[in-house]
Amino acid sequence: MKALVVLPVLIPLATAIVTIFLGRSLRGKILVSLVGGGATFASALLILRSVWSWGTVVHVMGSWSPPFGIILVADLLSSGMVVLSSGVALVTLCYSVGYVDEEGQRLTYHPLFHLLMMGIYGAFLTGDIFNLFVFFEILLISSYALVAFAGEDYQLEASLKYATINMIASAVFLLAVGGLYGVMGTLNMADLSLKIGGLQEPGPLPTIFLLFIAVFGVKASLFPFYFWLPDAHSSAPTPISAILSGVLIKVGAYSILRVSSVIFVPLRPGAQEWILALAAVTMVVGAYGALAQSDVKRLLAYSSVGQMGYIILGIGIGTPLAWVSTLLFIVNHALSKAMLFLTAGVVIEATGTREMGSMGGLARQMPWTAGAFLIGAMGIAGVPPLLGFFAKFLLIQAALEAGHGFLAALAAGLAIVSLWYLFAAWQQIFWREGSGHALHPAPRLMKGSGLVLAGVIVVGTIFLNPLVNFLRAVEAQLRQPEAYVTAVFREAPPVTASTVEPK
Amino acid sequence: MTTLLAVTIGVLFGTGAFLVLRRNALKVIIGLSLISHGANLLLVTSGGFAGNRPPIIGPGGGVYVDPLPQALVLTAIVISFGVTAFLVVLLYRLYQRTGTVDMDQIRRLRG
Repeated sequence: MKALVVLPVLIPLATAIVTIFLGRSLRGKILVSLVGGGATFASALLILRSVWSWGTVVHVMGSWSPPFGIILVADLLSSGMVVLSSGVALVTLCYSVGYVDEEGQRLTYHPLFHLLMMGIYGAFLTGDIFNLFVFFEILLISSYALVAFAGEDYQLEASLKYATINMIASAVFLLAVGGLYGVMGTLNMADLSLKIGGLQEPGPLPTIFLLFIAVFGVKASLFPFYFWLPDAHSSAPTPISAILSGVLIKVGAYSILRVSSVIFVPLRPGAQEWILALAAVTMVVGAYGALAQSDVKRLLAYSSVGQMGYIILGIGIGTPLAWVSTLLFIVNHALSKAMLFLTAGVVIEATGTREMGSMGGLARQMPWTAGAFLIGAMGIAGVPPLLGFFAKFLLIQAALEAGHGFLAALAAGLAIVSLWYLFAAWQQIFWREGSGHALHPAPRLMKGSGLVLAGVIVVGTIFLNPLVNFLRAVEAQLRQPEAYVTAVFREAPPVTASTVEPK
Repeated sequence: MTTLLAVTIGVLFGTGAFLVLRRNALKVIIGLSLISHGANLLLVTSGGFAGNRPPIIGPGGGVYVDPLPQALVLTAIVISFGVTAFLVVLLYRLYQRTGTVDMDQIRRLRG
């Protein structure tokens, strides 16, 4: 039963290896890849179900008991994130089969895709800071390769820039890990939580905490570190853009949430101002960056920056309501932004251009795609009754309750800006008089994948109440790091590292 | 010993940061690997590195140094080696296509 937690890491790894060795058989590769994606999603659902019924599931890797060995921990947040990302990944994988050219699929597209997903699931599930670093590197190096996959000049340049900033971030991550180990003598999250909870003096820990936030901020495109994102996310092949924007940047937000809810609990108030300030600037930069774009993928990428600002603002405010809104934002943005990129890809395939100025009037030729794009755009902008509206509503309410009137006003004002640019984009692409160009029909698989995600958003909106109740349960669990620690050490007697420290 | 290591780490980070700010992308990559060496060295130091002590407990016990950071650093070295190799290949591909490694010119070619 506990070994179930390993599956979201093992299945993608096995799928990647098998697809490498399938040689040049296209059908076989696609089949294995889709089965692998489906199996991962199914295992993620099973994990979520068992976590929901029996509480946090911990798997000790290789029987090296914590705090020494590596453990995988599935609590509600981790397993929920794995379900969300593996669902988006499965849809995106179907889309890729229609989108990526045959040669690319024969080569390394499928293995790289599954390695990327393996890194993402591993980062969600791991209970060890250094293991988090390793999974980060796995997902990063696969995503560098995937951004540059088609080998165009602009993709190579975007990938180089993306890899450069993230390699510096990895070095800083190592600094933070080294500092943390030097001070606390352990890297297991549960053990760190125990030891930091018992400290009288924080010592250098506040600095280390901020280093971690900066590192995760690079992944989550927090303000000073966001500039690689619009290039990388808009240059990547469309399904990869959907994964990067929909799932990968959430890994950064998840990690900030994880370290601040489990490890650095007593230090959270001290870092709050930093997080709030950076998140507010990120929101502004994303919204105004998006206003200036004429390329549909760059517009969506800048919009992701702005939305990450909202997500991290919620983490920064830190009240229960704010965290529920953050989680709702994560769900909404993962589904909507992935869907927007997928439908934008359909439009780009049909018109052969990324400039919104030379599109127009497509609603008549592709009504379903137009409808899906509208649902996604309005969902992100926060138009009632879609999910995004409730996320923004809860966030603004939480900000007002916590006494951050200015931030509430800023969030509300920027919601209007995001409505403006997203509606303008929809109007430019689908509504106004068409340019009358002949359209290349996009493969059915591509159109269908976008519609599936749009359907999921509609279903999520209809079942909002159960969803919010689930997110409240996730949030309640995040408030009890003691339960996390207990779950981890139930697996093994709590050996204290002090008994084996070097003399 | 710690002072010497601290100075070395500082020099590695300093030269690395200087090289990362160059326009020549090859120098940027060399700078990146210097920075990751600095980080690795700091990780080793955080385990109480003491030069001549082994990271294993000998048959009679005796003094030893914490082996965990050394294991971590091995992983980190392999990862940074892999990423550096990837970056070099990426840059070579970019050089083949654009004929330059100057980041400003590459950006200008992109238009």
